[in-house]
Amino acid sequence: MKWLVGTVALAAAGCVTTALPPATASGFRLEDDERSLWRQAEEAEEQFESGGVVYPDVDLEAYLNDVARRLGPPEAFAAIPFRIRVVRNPYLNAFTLPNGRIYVHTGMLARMENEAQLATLLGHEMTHATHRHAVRERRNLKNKAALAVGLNSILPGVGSLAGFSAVRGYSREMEAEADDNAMRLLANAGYDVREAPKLFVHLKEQLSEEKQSEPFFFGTHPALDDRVENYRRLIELQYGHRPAGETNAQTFLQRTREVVHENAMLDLRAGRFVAAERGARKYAALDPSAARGPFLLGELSRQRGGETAADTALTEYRRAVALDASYPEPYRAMGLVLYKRGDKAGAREAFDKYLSLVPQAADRAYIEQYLGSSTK
Amino acid sequence: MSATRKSLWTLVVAILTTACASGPRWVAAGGTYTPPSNRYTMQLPQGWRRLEGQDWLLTSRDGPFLQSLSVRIIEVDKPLGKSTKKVLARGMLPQEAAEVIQDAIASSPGMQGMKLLENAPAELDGRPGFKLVVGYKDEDGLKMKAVVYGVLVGDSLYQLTYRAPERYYFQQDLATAEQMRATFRIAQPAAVQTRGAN
Repeated sequence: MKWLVGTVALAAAGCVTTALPPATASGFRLEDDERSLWRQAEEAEEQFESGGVVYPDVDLEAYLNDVARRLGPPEAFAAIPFRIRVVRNPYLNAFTLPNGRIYVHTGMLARMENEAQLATLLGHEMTHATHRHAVRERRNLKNKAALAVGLNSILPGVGSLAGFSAVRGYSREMEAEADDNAMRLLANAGYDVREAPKLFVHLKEQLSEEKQSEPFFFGTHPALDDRVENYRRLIELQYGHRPAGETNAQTFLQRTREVVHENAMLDLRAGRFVAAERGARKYAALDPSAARGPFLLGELSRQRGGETAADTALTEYRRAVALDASYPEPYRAMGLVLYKRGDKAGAREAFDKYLSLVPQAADRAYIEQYLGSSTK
Repeated sequence: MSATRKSLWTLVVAILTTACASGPRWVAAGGTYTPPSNRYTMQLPQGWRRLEGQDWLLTSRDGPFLQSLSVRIIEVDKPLGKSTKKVLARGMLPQEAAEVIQDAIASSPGMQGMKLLENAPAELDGRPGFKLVVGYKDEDGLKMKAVVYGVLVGDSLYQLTYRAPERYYFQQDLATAEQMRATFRIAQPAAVQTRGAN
């Protein structure tokens, strides 16, 4: 009877309840407005993914989904078809659509140190879906007659998904709920819970070092401060007595190595040199035998400029070709540096080598121009 | 609304806002065009319209969402936009300047799945520069194509961009855009005397 009175009162006020049981509760079914939200998410997601933003690495995706499965109770997967995807984007972000699609930016993955940190993030994001934050937030906004607020935010690289709260972050209460549940999932799965606050401390330190202002939830200091505080409090109150769990750092770093490289390239393209250098050094350390590491460091130096840039770049390019003499890019880059220096013989040698390795090079016309002028 | 459209709308709204005070608006193009800064000249085709600023120009026949040719001048060491921290530097080779512009385009908000279709040396006003051809999707999923010409002269990069939806519109006005490029002339420094923006 009380329930009926409450419902009538809400209806009279034009309001809908924001108190919904989690999707893991027995008898879960989508409410009408929630179903519509899922449909919108599916449509927006289709458009988003057709834009070529997804990082296509089947093995990595399988690994991320395995970690999610280890975290999520079976009833969560029964209710929500979770799927983790990686987005080529150097900004710190991850977000979950109401239908269980979780997008993690390369910028986020590349900065993590181990699987326990990844599990923290995935647990947090999965909770947004299992605890139905999207529909609750929408109802909450509707109740406040403020649905339109923030739906037109302009965020880079999220395209059709910009209207979803998930992309910008939820209310503080919902984010705290996600922290709380993520910690429970993390502990139940046997991960080291102490890695949870470390992830966000680490991200915060990097943001400060890069002096970056970032547009997404996980790239803002207040959001990171809240996460650190929440996870520390949870450890102190509930999880402090637990023995250290797994971090699986080796596996994580090996599985995400190529993302580190990809993301460093993205940072370099955006002129985020501090972040790019960190990524390039991390990649070079993860795979010391790969010529791409020193080449990237060389490119970073050349593009960043400065007094010693050319010398540093040349040193790195030479290291790269010493590791792999059949890798063409360092020769082209060496040619450019030497050409600008006026070392035409050196430039010619490097350019000749480059074109011999890639006769159909996209920039062949430029190179031939340089070669033409270097014989004069 | 796509990022391209947003930026075009922003430009249009900014112009309309200032128009109330100072009068600039879309006007009929045709004939020799000289910007308020007097830094270059270009022949604009009959039947097109233009919007101008001190150092930028936007021209279109059917509206900027269907086709546009824009000119802008970017100074070295100045930011290229909010999405990139890369800057142009004095003495860059055309290929290096092209790399900076290409990266700025790729990093711009709303740019999805940008593909570099061509990057080659090209001349602008007889000076060695670059030509980039890129394809991408805007936020509405519309396939777009753009040709970007650039030449670095002293501390300034002169950039011409022809942009249109890939289907039908791009090809329709490409030849006109190329004709405009062929008439682009950079003014000698001595000849540059700023005229008042109208």
